[in-house]
Amino acid sequence: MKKAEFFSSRWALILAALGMAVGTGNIWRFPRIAAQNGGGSFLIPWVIFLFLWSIPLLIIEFAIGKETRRGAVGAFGKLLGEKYTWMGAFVGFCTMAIMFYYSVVMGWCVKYFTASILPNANTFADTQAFWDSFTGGIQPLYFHLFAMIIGSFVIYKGVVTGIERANKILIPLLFGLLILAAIRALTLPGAIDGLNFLFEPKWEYLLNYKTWLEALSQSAWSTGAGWGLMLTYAVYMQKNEDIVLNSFVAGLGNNSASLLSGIVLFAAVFSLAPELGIEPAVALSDSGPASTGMTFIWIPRLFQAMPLGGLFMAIFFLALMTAALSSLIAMIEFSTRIFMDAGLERKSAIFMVGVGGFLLGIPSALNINFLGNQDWVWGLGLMVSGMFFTFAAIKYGVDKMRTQLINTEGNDLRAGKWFNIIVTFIIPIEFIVLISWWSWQAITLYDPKGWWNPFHTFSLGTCIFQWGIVILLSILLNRWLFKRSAQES
Amino acid sequence: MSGVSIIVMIIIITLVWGGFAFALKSAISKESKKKNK
Repeated sequence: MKKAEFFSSRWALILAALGMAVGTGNIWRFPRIAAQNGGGSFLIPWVIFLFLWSIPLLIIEFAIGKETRRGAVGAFGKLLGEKYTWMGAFVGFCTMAIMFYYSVVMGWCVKYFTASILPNANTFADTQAFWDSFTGGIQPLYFHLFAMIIGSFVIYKGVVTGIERANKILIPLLFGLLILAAIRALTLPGAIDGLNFLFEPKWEYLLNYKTWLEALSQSAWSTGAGWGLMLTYAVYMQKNEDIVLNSFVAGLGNNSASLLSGIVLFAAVFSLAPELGIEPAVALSDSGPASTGMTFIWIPRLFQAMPLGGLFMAIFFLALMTAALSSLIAMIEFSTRIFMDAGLERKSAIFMVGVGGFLLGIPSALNINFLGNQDWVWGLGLMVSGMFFTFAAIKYGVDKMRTQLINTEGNDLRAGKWFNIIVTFIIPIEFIVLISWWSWQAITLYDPKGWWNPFHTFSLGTCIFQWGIVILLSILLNRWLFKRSAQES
Repeated sequence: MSGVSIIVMIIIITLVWGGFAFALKSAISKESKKKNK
């Protein structure tokens, strides 16, 4: 049997966890959702749900990964028994499906970064035309391929020389770039108006249930809680490594990056937009196709209007690319670990994930509506994944998990009884409310006439149809998956 | 900036950035204590 790999230090694990958590969602989704939901009114529930959803789920993932030393599929089987392996398979497919299009998104960031550093003054003359011409052609495919090759190469190098070394560069670089961008943005005239908009609580929003649900969604997606990524990194934890404090570092670090990018974008947009006759709140709130409006249309348009705008734009897209790569690495390792549990060598597993990821990402690279559909289906599927982790904790015994798997020797911060209450009652309630609300929105708002149609992009039917296929296949293959992934070899 | 915005900003930044800095500092100091044992 091959010698198991471990992170060489706690610092390395923390950087990897931060790399996993901080992704494009922090930079492009957080400011947009905050702007759409009343700025300061959104920040209050967003912080609350960090403690009532994300951090407890990260703790559960750490505990299961450290105990079972298996990726998502094998972990459920080993912890709960054969008949629950299908739940791990759903989690596994859900996160892999996100990886397929996430690599495409990283490719866009690479394209915009390279475009912002190449000396061509007319590149962003018409940002909408630039975006349309880029996504309308075959170029996204090449950038998707590039992203998969870079991510797979890091994973090929292994845990210490690949994941550890990459995150030791990427995370300090990312925070450094964001701090640099924040300094520049805050020194622009009128930046204070952006800060005022970001932090001013508008009470009518705080009393609106939608603000709270958007805050919960953002917290769940942004921290990576319930994706199974932290579970995968926990497989490589040292035996006497802490769980609770590391989860707090990852969760709070993720929110710190979001807040920093929020400050950058609010300050910059409120300073630059009025000069171009654009309403700042409109630019910040614009979703555009597959949520690309603000990042790829408005940001280049606004940034090029400022002194040293090209440099500022390069810093912004380099930060976005860095965040995307650190998360893509986690997703590729997540997928690789599942195949390794099934008996493949790391090299063969990476080859399968790299080639499969590229091929299955092609539809998203060539069709933005397909990408939007996948983002809708599997983004929402993460809620279900999160609930499966909570179910695993409840089935195993929340108190048993807390006392035997979490509060172990070497733990620096102990999980108290609060953990039992949050996992047993609060997270299930949050899940039921959230999934009901999203379903209601899908029926009444997104696609009122075709909400049942499985072939509509943003319908409830397409979610149920695609989840149904994955769950059905997982249940049919349950026994085989258990034997391959969960049993000791 | 309005007074309420400043108060919210101080609370959020203290909780998020302060919390992150405190958790990170605790993790680093606990780790060095373990190594020194």
